[in-house]
Amino acid sequence: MKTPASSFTACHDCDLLIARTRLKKGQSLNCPRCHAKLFHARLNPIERGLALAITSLILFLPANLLPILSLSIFGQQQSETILQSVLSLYDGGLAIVAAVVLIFAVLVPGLQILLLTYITACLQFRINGHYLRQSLNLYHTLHGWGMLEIYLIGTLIAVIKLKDIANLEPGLGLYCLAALIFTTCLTNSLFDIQHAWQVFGQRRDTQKAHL
Amino acid sequence: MNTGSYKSARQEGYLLCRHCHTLHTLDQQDQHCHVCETPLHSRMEHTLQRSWAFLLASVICFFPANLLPIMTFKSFGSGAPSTIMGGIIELFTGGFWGIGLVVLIASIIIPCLKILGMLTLLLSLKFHWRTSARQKTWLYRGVEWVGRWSMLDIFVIAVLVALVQLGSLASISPGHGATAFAAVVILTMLSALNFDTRLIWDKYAPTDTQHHDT
Repeated sequence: MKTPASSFTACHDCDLLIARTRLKKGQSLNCPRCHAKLFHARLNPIERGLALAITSLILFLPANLLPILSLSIFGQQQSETILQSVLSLYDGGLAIVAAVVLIFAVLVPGLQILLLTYITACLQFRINGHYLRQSLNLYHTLHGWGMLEIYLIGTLIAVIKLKDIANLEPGLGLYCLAALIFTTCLTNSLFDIQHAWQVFGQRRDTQKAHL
Repeated sequence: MNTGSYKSARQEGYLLCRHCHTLHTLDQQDQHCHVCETPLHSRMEHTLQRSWAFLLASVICFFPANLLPIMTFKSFGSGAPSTIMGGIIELFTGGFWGIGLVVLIASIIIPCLKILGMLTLLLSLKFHWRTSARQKTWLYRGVEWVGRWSMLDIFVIAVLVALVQLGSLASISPGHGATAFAAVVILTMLSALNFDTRLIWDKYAPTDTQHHDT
Protein backbone atom coordinates (compact mmCIF):
# COMPACT_ATOMS: atom_id res chain seq x y z
CA MET A 1 0.00 0.00 0.00
CA LYS A 2 1.33 3.39 -1.03
CA THR A 3 1.59 6.41 1.22
CA PRO A 4 -1.59 8.44 0.72
CA ALA A 5 -1.26 11.36 -1.64
CA SER A 6 -2.40 13.76 1.07
CA SER A 7 0.90 13.52 2.92
CA PHE A 8 2.80 14.84 -0.07
CA THR A 9 2.63 17.69 -2.47
CA ALA A 10 4.44 18.35 -5.73
CA CYS A 11 5.99 21.44 -7.27
CA HIS A 12 3.80 22.74 -10.09
CA ASP A 13 6.85 23.97 -12.00
CA CYS A 14 9.29 21.04 -11.77
CA ASP A 15 7.16 18.16 -10.41
CA LEU A 16 9.44 17.58 -7.40
CA LEU A 17 7.73 15.46 -4.76
CA ILE A 18 7.78 17.22 -1.40
CA ALA A 19 6.54 16.12 2.01
CA ARG A 20 3.70 18.29 3.24
CA THR A 21 4.53 20.50 6.21
CA ARG A 22 2.30 22.68 8.33
CA LEU A 23 3.13 26.33 7.83
CA LYS A 24 2.69 29.02 10.44
CA LYS A 25 0.85 32.18 9.45
CA GLY A 26 3.04 34.34 7.27
CA GLN A 27 5.41 31.54 6.34
CA SER A 28 5.89 30.42 2.79
CA LEU A 29 7.22 27.23 1.25
CA ASN A 30 9.40 27.35 -1.83
CA CYS A 31 10.45 24.45 -4.02
CA PRO A 32 13.99 23.45 -3.00
CA ARG A 33 14.86 22.57 -6.58
CA CYS A 34 13.40 25.30 -8.81
CA HIS A 35 12.47 27.87 -6.11
CA ALA A 36 8.85 28.18 -7.23
CA LYS A 37 6.59 29.47 -4.47
CA LEU A 38 4.41 26.54 -3.48
CA PHE A 39 2.48 27.79 -0.48
CA HIS A 40 2.15 31.01 1.35
CA ALA A 41 0.20 30.88 4.60
CA ARG A 42 -1.33 34.34 4.40
CA LEU A 43 -3.25 36.02 7.18
CA ASN A 44 -7.03 35.73 6.68
CA PRO A 45 -6.80 35.55 2.88
CA ILE A 46 -10.53 34.96 2.40
CA GLU A 47 -11.69 37.77 4.63
CA ARG A 48 -9.20 40.21 3.15
CA GLY A 49 -10.03 39.02 -0.35
CA LEU A 50 -13.71 39.78 0.29
CA ALA A 51 -12.93 43.27 1.57
CA LEU A 52 -10.76 44.01 -1.44
CA ALA A 53 -13.32 42.53 -3.84
CA ILE A 54 -16.03 44.83 -2.51
CA THR A 55 -13.70 47.85 -2.73
CA SER A 56 -12.81 46.94 -6.31
CA LEU A 57 -16.48 46.46 -7.13
CA ILE A 58 -17.23 50.00 -5.95
CA LEU A 59 -14.33 51.44 -7.94
CA PHE A 60 -14.94 49.48 -11.12
CA LEU A 61 -17.96 51.36 -12.47
CA PRO A 62 -16.61 54.93 -12.05
CA ALA A 63 -13.24 53.82 -13.44
CA ASN A 64 -15.00 52.64 -16.56
CA LEU A 65 -17.69 55.28 -16.96
CA LEU A 66 -16.05 58.52 -15.85
CA PRO A 67 -13.63 60.29 -18.21
CA ILE A 68 -10.00 59.32 -17.74
CA LEU A 69 -8.56 62.24 -19.63
CA SER A 70 -9.94 65.28 -21.34
CA LEU A 71 -8.11 67.17 -24.02
CA SER A 72 -8.68 70.71 -25.16
CA ILE A 73 -7.14 72.27 -28.24
CA PHE A 74 -8.17 75.59 -29.84
CA GLY A 75 -11.26 75.66 -27.67
CA GLN A 76 -12.42 72.22 -28.74
CA GLN A 77 -12.85 69.57 -26.08
CA GLN A 78 -12.70 65.82 -26.19
CA SER A 79 -12.80 63.44 -23.25
CA GLU A 80 -12.04 59.75 -23.11
CA THR A 81 -13.25 56.73 -21.18
CA ILE A 82 -12.04 53.15 -21.56
CA LEU A 83 -15.22 52.19 -23.37
CA GLN A 84 -14.90 55.17 -25.70
CA SER A 85 -11.39 54.10 -26.67
CA VAL A 86 -12.85 50.71 -27.57
CA LEU A 87 -15.53 52.36 -29.71
CA SER A 88 -13.01 54.62 -31.45
CA LEU A 89 -10.89 51.64 -32.41
CA TYR A 90 -14.00 49.91 -33.73
CA ASP A 91 -14.97 52.98 -35.74
CA GLY A 92 -11.43 53.20 -37.05
CA GLY A 93 -11.89 49.79 -38.65
CA LEU A 94 -9.92 47.72 -36.15
CA ALA A 95 -12.63 45.48 -34.73
CA ILE A 96 -10.11 42.88 -33.48
CA VAL A 97 -7.98 45.39 -31.59
CA ALA A 98 -11.16 46.94 -30.18
CA ALA A 99 -12.21 43.49 -28.95
CA VAL A 100 -8.75 42.88 -27.45
CA VAL A 101 -8.87 46.16 -25.50
CA LEU A 102 -12.46 45.47 -24.42
CA ILE A 103 -11.57 41.98 -23.19
CA PHE A 104 -8.29 42.75 -21.42
CA ALA A 105 -9.12 46.18 -19.99
CA VAL A 106 -12.84 45.84 -19.21
CA LEU A 107 -14.31 42.35 -19.33
CA VAL A 108 -11.52 40.30 -17.72
CA PRO A 109 -10.89 42.74 -14.82
CA GLY A 110 -14.65 43.07 -14.26
CA LEU A 111 -15.19 39.32 -14.34
CA GLN A 112 -12.26 38.78 -11.97
CA ILE A 113 -13.76 41.18 -9.45
CA LEU A 114 -17.21 39.56 -9.68
CA LEU A 115 -15.72 36.07 -9.35
CA LEU A 116 -13.59 37.09 -6.39
CA THR A 117 -16.60 38.61 -4.65
CA TYR A 118 -18.62 35.44 -5.21
CA ILE A 119 -15.80 33.07 -4.18
CA THR A 120 -14.78 34.91 -1.04
CA ALA A 121 -18.39 35.60 0.02
CA CYS A 122 -19.29 31.90 -0.37
CA LEU A 123 -16.22 30.74 1.55
CA GLN A 124 -16.40 33.39 4.24
CA PHE A 125 -20.10 32.96 5.06
CA ARG A 126 -20.16 29.20 4.39
CA ILE A 127 -22.74 29.55 1.66
CA ASN A 128 -23.15 26.60 -0.67
CA GLY A 129 -22.55 28.37 -3.97
CA HIS A 130 -23.70 26.24 -6.88
CA TYR A 131 -21.09 27.69 -9.20
CA LEU A 132 -18.24 27.85 -6.69
CA ARG A 133 -16.13 25.21 -8.43
CA GLN A 134 -16.65 26.75 -11.88
CA SER A 135 -15.88 30.20 -10.48
CA LEU A 136 -12.63 29.02 -8.92
CA ASN A 137 -11.63 27.35 -12.18
CA LEU A 138 -12.44 30.46 -14.22
CA TYR A 139 -10.67 32.74 -11.75
CA HIS A 140 -7.59 30.54 -12.02
CA THR A 141 -7.74 30.61 -15.82
CA LEU A 142 -8.15 34.38 -16.04
CA HIS A 143 -5.06 35.01 -13.92
CA GLY A 144 -2.65 37.27 -15.79
CA TRP A 145 -5.09 38.35 -18.51
CA GLY A 146 -6.42 41.47 -16.75
CA MET A 147 -4.33 44.40 -17.92
CA LEU A 148 -5.62 47.50 -16.16
CA GLU A 149 -2.20 48.62 -14.94
CA ILE A 150 -0.86 48.42 -18.48
CA TYR A 151 -3.79 50.54 -19.65
CA LEU A 152 -2.87 53.16 -17.05
CA ILE A 153 0.76 53.29 -18.18
CA GLY A 154 -0.52 53.49 -21.77
CA THR A 155 -2.61 56.51 -20.78
CA LEU A 156 0.43 58.18 -19.26
CA ILE A 157 2.45 57.62 -22.44
CA ALA A 158 -0.41 59.09 -24.48
CA VAL A 159 -0.34 62.15 -22.19
CA ILE A 160 3.36 62.65 -22.83
CA LYS A 161 2.87 62.27 -26.58
CA LEU A 162 0.11 64.88 -26.62
CA LYS A 163 1.20 67.39 -24.00
CA ASP A 164 3.00 69.61 -26.51
CA ILE A 165 0.06 70.08 -28.84
CA ALA A 166 -2.86 70.20 -26.44
CA ASN A 167 -4.01 70.87 -22.89
CA LEU A 168 -4.77 67.70 -20.99
CA GLU A 169 -6.81 67.39 -17.82
CA PRO A 170 -6.96 64.22 -15.76
CA GLY A 171 -10.55 63.12 -15.12
CA LEU A 172 -12.11 61.53 -12.07
CA GLY A 173 -11.97 58.19 -13.89
CA LEU A 174 -8.18 58.29 -13.82
CA TYR A 175 -8.11 58.45 -10.02
CA CYS A 176 -10.64 55.63 -9.77
CA LEU A 177 -8.58 53.59 -12.23
CA ALA A 178 -5.40 54.15 -10.21
CA ALA A 179 -7.21 53.16 -7.00
CA LEU A 180 -8.64 50.08 -8.72
CA ILE A 181 -5.17 49.02 -9.84
CA PHE A 182 -3.96 49.47 -6.27
CA THR A 183 -6.69 47.18 -4.88
CA THR A 184 -6.00 44.65 -7.67
CA CYS A 185 -2.31 44.54 -6.73
CA LEU A 186 -3.23 44.15 -3.07
CA THR A 187 -5.60 41.32 -3.97
CA ASN A 188 -2.81 39.53 -5.81
CA SER A 189 -0.54 39.73 -2.79
CA LEU A 190 -3.10 39.08 -0.04
CA PHE A 191 -5.56 36.61 -1.57
CA ASP A 192 -4.49 33.12 -2.54
CA ILE A 193 -6.42 30.97 -4.99
CA GLN A 194 -4.63 27.82 -3.74
CA HIS A 195 -5.87 28.51 -0.24
CA ALA A 196 -9.39 28.97 -1.60
CA TRP A 197 -9.10 25.59 -3.35
CA GLN A 198 -7.99 23.97 -0.09
CA VAL A 199 -10.92 25.40 1.85
CA PHE A 200 -13.26 24.36 -0.97
CA GLY A 201 -11.80 20.82 -1.02
CA GLN A 202 -12.08 20.43 2.76
CA ARG A 203 -15.68 21.62 2.75
CA ARG A 204 -16.50 19.20 -0.03
CA ASP A 205 -14.92 16.32 1.87
CA THR A 206 -16.84 17.06 5.08
CA GLN A 207 -20.08 17.37 3.12
CA LYS A 208 -19.46 13.98 1.54
CA ALA A 209 -18.73 12.50 4.97
CA HIS A 210 -22.11 13.73 6.22
CA LEU A 211 -24.03 12.11 3.38
CA MET B 1 24.10 20.56 -9.43
CA ASN B 2 22.95 17.70 -7.29
CA THR B 3 19.70 16.59 -8.84
CA GLY B 4 20.21 12.87 -8.34
CA SER B 5 18.51 12.71 -4.95
CA TYR B 6 15.41 14.54 -6.14
CA LYS B 7 12.42 12.45 -7.12
CA SER B 8 9.66 13.79 -9.29
CA ALA B 9 6.05 13.10 -8.43
CA ARG B 10 5.66 11.10 -11.61
CA GLN B 11 8.62 8.86 -10.76
CA GLU B 12 7.04 8.10 -7.41
CA GLY B 13 3.66 7.42 -8.94
CA TYR B 14 1.91 10.69 -8.20
CA LEU B 15 0.33 13.37 -10.30
CA LEU B 16 -0.39 16.99 -9.48
CA CYS B 17 -3.59 18.68 -10.62
CA ARG B 18 -2.37 21.86 -12.27
CA HIS B 19 -5.56 23.72 -11.47
CA CYS B 20 -6.11 23.24 -7.75
CA HIS B 21 -2.72 21.68 -6.86
CA THR B 22 -4.27 18.54 -5.35
CA LEU B 23 -1.98 15.52 -5.47
CA HIS B 24 -3.38 12.34 -7.01
CA THR B 25 -1.92 8.95 -7.80
CA LEU B 26 -0.62 8.40 -11.30
CA ASP B 27 -3.30 5.81 -12.14
CA GLN B 28 -5.83 8.65 -12.14
CA GLN B 29 -4.27 9.98 -15.36
CA ASP B 30 -7.00 11.16 -17.80
CA GLN B 31 -9.64 11.00 -15.07
CA HIS B 32 -11.10 14.10 -13.50
CA CYS B 33 -9.80 15.75 -10.35
CA HIS B 34 -12.23 15.19 -7.48
CA VAL B 35 -11.82 18.75 -6.25
CA CYS B 36 -11.89 20.97 -9.34
CA GLU B 37 -13.16 18.37 -11.85
CA THR B 38 -10.66 19.31 -14.55
CA PRO B 39 -8.97 16.46 -16.51
CA LEU B 40 -5.80 15.15 -14.86
CA HIS B 41 -2.57 14.88 -16.83
CA SER B 42 0.86 14.15 -15.42
CA ARG B 43 2.22 16.49 -18.12
CA MET B 44 0.15 18.93 -20.16
CA GLU B 45 -1.13 17.28 -23.32
CA HIS B 46 0.57 18.20 -26.62
CA THR B 47 2.41 20.92 -24.75
CA LEU B 48 5.35 21.18 -27.16
CA GLN B 49 3.26 21.08 -30.34
CA ARG B 50 0.95 23.80 -29.04
CA SER B 51 3.78 25.93 -27.78
CA TRP B 52 5.60 25.65 -31.13
CA ALA B 53 2.44 26.40 -33.09
CA PHE B 54 1.66 29.59 -31.16
CA LEU B 55 5.30 30.66 -31.33
CA LEU B 56 5.56 30.20 -35.11
CA ALA B 57 2.27 32.06 -35.59
CA SER B 58 3.62 34.94 -33.51
CA VAL B 59 6.83 35.05 -35.57
CA ILE B 60 4.72 35.32 -38.73
CA CYS B 61 2.66 38.18 -37.25
CA PHE B 62 5.82 39.92 -36.05
CA PHE B 63 6.61 41.18 -39.57
CA PRO B 64 3.32 42.93 -40.40
CA ALA B 65 3.27 44.25 -36.82
CA ASN B 66 6.49 46.12 -37.41
CA LEU B 67 6.11 46.98 -41.09
CA LEU B 68 2.50 48.15 -41.27
CA PRO B 69 1.53 51.51 -39.78
CA ILE B 70 -0.09 51.32 -36.35
CA MET B 71 -1.70 54.76 -36.58
CA THR B 72 -2.02 57.86 -38.73
CA PHE B 73 -1.86 61.33 -37.21
CA LYS B 74 -3.51 64.00 -39.37
CA SER B 75 -3.45 67.71 -38.58
CA PHE B 76 -5.07 70.22 -40.96
CA GLY B 77 -5.34 67.51 -43.58
CA SER B 78 -1.68 66.56 -43.64
CA GLY B 79 0.13 63.77 -41.86
CA ALA B 80 1.71 60.42 -42.51
CA PRO B 81 1.09 56.94 -41.14
CA SER B 82 3.62 55.84 -38.55
CA THR B 83 4.93 52.42 -37.59
CA ILE B 84 5.95 51.30 -34.10
CA MET B 85 9.60 52.11 -34.78
CA GLY B 86 8.62 55.47 -36.31
CA GLY B 87 6.76 56.43 -33.15
CA ILE B 88 9.74 55.55 -30.99
CA ILE B 89 12.14 57.56 -33.17
CA GLU B 90 9.72 60.49 -32.96
CA LEU B 91 9.81 60.31 -29.14
CA PHE B 92 13.60 60.17 -29.14
CA THR B 93 14.02 63.11 -31.54
CA GLY B 94 11.42 65.03 -29.51
CA GLY B 95 13.70 64.67 -26.50
CA PHE B 96 11.52 62.24 -24.54
CA TRP B 97 14.30 59.77 -23.84
CA GLY B 98 12.74 58.11 -20.83
CA ILE B 99 9.35 57.46 -22.36
CA GLY B 100 10.94 56.56 -25.71
CA LEU B 101 12.97 53.94 -23.91
CA VAL B 102 9.86 52.55 -22.18
CA VAL B 103 8.03 52.18 -25.50
CA LEU B 104 11.15 50.76 -27.17
CA ILE B 105 11.48 48.14 -24.43
CA ALA B 106 7.78 47.29 -24.31
CA SER B 107 7.12 47.20 -28.05
CA ILE B 108 10.31 45.99 -29.69
CA ILE B 109 12.73 44.50 -27.17
CA ILE B 110 10.23 42.51 -25.06
CA PRO B 111 8.46 40.83 -28.02
CA CYS B 112 11.86 39.94 -29.53
CA LEU B 113 13.18 38.58 -26.24
CA LYS B 114 9.96 36.66 -25.65
CA ILE B 115 10.14 34.97 -29.03
CA LEU B 116 13.86 34.24 -28.61
CA GLY B 117 13.29 32.97 -25.06
CA MET B 118 10.53 30.56 -26.06
CA LEU B 119 12.62 29.48 -29.06
CA THR B 120 15.58 28.73 -26.76
CA LEU B 121 13.39 26.70 -24.40
CA LEU B 122 11.73 24.71 -27.17
CA LEU B 123 14.97 24.08 -29.10
CA SER B 124 16.82 23.03 -25.95
CA LEU B 125 14.15 20.40 -25.27
CA LYS B 126 14.05 19.32 -28.90
CA PHE B 127 17.81 18.82 -29.22
CA HIS B 128 18.47 17.87 -25.56
CA TRP B 129 20.87 20.75 -24.97
CA ARG B 130 22.86 20.28 -21.81
CA THR B 131 21.92 23.56 -20.19
CA SER B 132 20.96 24.35 -16.62
CA ALA B 133 17.36 23.43 -15.88
CA ARG B 134 17.20 26.07 -13.19
CA GLN B 135 18.29 28.80 -15.61
CA LYS B 136 15.74 27.61 -18.14
CA THR B 137 13.00 27.73 -15.52
CA TRP B 138 13.94 31.31 -14.68
CA LEU B 139 14.00 32.14 -18.38
CA TYR B 140 10.47 30.77 -18.64
CA ARG B 141 9.31 32.76 -15.62
CA GLY B 142 10.79 35.91 -17.16
CA VAL B 143 9.00 35.29 -20.45
CA GLU B 144 5.74 34.58 -18.65
CA TRP B 145 5.95 37.62 -16.37
CA VAL B 146 6.99 40.12 -18.97
CA GLY B 147 4.58 38.90 -21.65
CA ARG B 148 1.58 41.06 -20.90
CA TRP B 149 3.57 44.31 -20.81
CA SER B 150 3.99 44.42 -24.58
CA MET B 151 0.26 45.15 -24.71
CA LEU B 152 1.27 48.69 -23.76
CA ASP B 153 1.42 50.05 -27.30
CA ILE B 154 -2.08 48.78 -28.08
CA PHE B 155 -3.47 50.72 -25.12
CA VAL B 156 -1.51 53.85 -26.10
CA ILE B 157 -3.13 53.66 -29.53
CA ALA B 158 -6.54 53.10 -27.95
CA VAL B 159 -6.21 56.23 -25.79
CA LEU B 160 -4.79 58.39 -28.60
CA VAL B 161 -7.46 57.36 -31.08
CA ALA B 162 -10.23 58.17 -28.61
CA LEU B 163 -8.78 61.50 -27.51
CA VAL B 164 -7.65 63.02 -30.76
CA GLN B 165 -10.89 63.16 -32.72
CA LEU B 166 -11.16 66.85 -33.54
CA GLY B 167 -12.26 66.65 -37.15
CA SER B 168 -10.00 68.42 -39.64
CA LEU B 169 -8.06 70.12 -36.86
CA ALA B 170 -6.31 66.98 -35.68
CA SER B 171 -7.25 63.34 -35.77
CA ILE B 172 -5.58 60.00 -35.18
CA SER B 173 -6.82 56.87 -36.89
CA PRO B 174 -5.60 53.36 -36.09
CA GLY B 175 -3.76 51.20 -38.62
CA HIS B 176 -3.73 47.47 -39.28
CA GLY B 177 -0.25 47.06 -37.86
CA ALA B 178 -1.96 47.28 -34.47
CA THR B 179 -4.02 44.15 -35.19
CA ALA B 180 -0.87 42.22 -36.07
CA PHE B 181 0.89 43.59 -33.02
CA ALA B 182 -1.93 42.54 -30.69
CA ALA B 183 -1.77 39.11 -32.31
CA VAL B 184 1.99 38.86 -31.59
CA VAL B 185 1.43 39.69 -27.93
CA ILE B 186 -1.45 37.26 -27.46
CA LEU B 187 0.20 34.45 -29.42
CA THR B 188 3.47 34.67 -27.47
CA MET B 189 1.46 34.68 -24.21
CA LEU B 190 -0.38 31.56 -25.37
CA SER B 191 2.89 29.93 -26.41
CA ALA B 192 4.27 30.44 -22.90
CA LEU B 193 1.01 29.36 -21.28
CA ASN B 194 0.98 26.07 -23.15
CA PHE B 195 4.57 25.23 -22.25
CA ASP B 196 4.87 22.71 -19.43
CA THR B 197 7.96 23.64 -17.39
CA ARG B 198 8.06 20.19 -15.83
CA LEU B 199 9.46 18.88 -19.13
CA ILE B 200 12.63 20.91 -18.47
CA TRP B 201 13.25 18.83 -15.35
CA ASP B 202 12.21 15.46 -16.72
CA LYS B 203 15.60 14.71 -18.22
CA TYR B 204 16.96 14.43 -14.68
CA ALA B 205 14.48 11.68 -14.00
CA PRO B 206 14.44 8.30 -15.71
CA THR B 207 11.37 7.97 -17.86
CA ASP B 208 10.53 4.38 -16.97
CA THR B 209 7.22 5.42 -15.41
CA GLN B 210 6.22 7.35 -18.52
CA HIS B 211 4.06 4.53 -19.85
CA HIS B 212 2.12 3.89 -16.74
CA ASP B 213 -0.92 2.38 -18.38
CA THR B 214 -1.32 -0.74 -16.28
